[in-house]
Amino acid sequence: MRYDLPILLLPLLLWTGCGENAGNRPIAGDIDSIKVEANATAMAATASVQVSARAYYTLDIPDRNVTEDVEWLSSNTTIATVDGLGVVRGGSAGGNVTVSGTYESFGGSVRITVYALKSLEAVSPEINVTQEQTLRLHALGTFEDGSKRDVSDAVVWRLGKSQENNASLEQNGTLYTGDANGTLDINISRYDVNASLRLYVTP
Amino acid sequence: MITTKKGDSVKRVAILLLLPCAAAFAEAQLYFGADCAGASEYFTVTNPGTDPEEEKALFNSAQIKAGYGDIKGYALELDFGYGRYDKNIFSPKDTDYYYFDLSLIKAFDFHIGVFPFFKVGFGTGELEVDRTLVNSISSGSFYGGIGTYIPIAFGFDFEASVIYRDKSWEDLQMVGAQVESGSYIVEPYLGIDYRF
Repeated sequence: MRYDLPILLLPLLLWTGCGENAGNRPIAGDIDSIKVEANATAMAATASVQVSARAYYTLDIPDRNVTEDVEWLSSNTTIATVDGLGVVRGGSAGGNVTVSGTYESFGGSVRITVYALKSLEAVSPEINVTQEQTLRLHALGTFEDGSKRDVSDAVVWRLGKSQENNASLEQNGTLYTGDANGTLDINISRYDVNASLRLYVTP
Repeated sequence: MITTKKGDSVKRVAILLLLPCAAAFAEAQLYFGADCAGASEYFTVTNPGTDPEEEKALFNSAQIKAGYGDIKGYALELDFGYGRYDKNIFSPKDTDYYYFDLSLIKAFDFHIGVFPFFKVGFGTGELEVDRTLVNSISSGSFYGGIGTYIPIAFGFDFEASVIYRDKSWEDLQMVGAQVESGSYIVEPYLGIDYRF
């Protein structure tokens, strides 16, 4: 009895070896590669660039946008950060940054040049304003590449503390002058770049 | 006055439930055995964005088993098997397939010298593959079939059976998309059992 089982199993093991694999191409598809691209290769620090990832498969399976499936990484977060949806936003410094999108061993990267913000200017349509007036202020930025653009939505707007009770300032630069006469000191900043503006409120 | 404790009621219910089991396994024996099978398995693979593809692959397998039951009645059986396909389905190199099956068998004694039975069960398996993101994929299956025990001598009996098995395979992830697969097979088994 001791040797019965091995004797029985031997032909069974030989039997399973009869089905040699044909080495054919499988019918189930697989991932072939992931390619990463950006809608721009240069950007102002206050702007954003969309990077996207596209997966390519074997067996003529249609390729797909897999931007939300890959893990995004910036080589230098001081220059630019990237979120899970592939939106690249400039940081405090300028320079070149490599943005990578990976999924396990697959992935790709793009190189993006970020132009740092060099200076800011707060602009009002008028310096002398009246009480209870609403007006839109603007922030103009000058970048490393010499370009200028409206960066009103990318800066922090602050109203001087002494005027807070009488006036209000929204983060898009919309100012309500309030019901008191005097001066309104407006400050704008982005990282360590600042600018200020003084308005005069009259009845 | 006669009072019935709650514990007694539970015992009675348990006994009533166990009675059929006890009757079913009244002449139960422990048995061991081995089988082999070989048949074509029919795969349907749906790659994303494409029509389903079908493929047939020869599946040869062998299994060892341990069971507890009556050759003329009910038995519970656990199988551990190994098999290979003659074609690649999921990767350029599909290799070893290991599986476990758990079967419930009901055999009959018609006094004809053999004991026909039918069996149902479920199983799980693991196929080694060579894909980019995984090295193995698992499967689950349900099956049912018929067969017969043919007693030989000295506690040995020959077993022949045919089962239909429906198999579901783990979805294959491909980053943002997945491959869905299923298969079925009609497997003729030949084997031998030894009953203690």
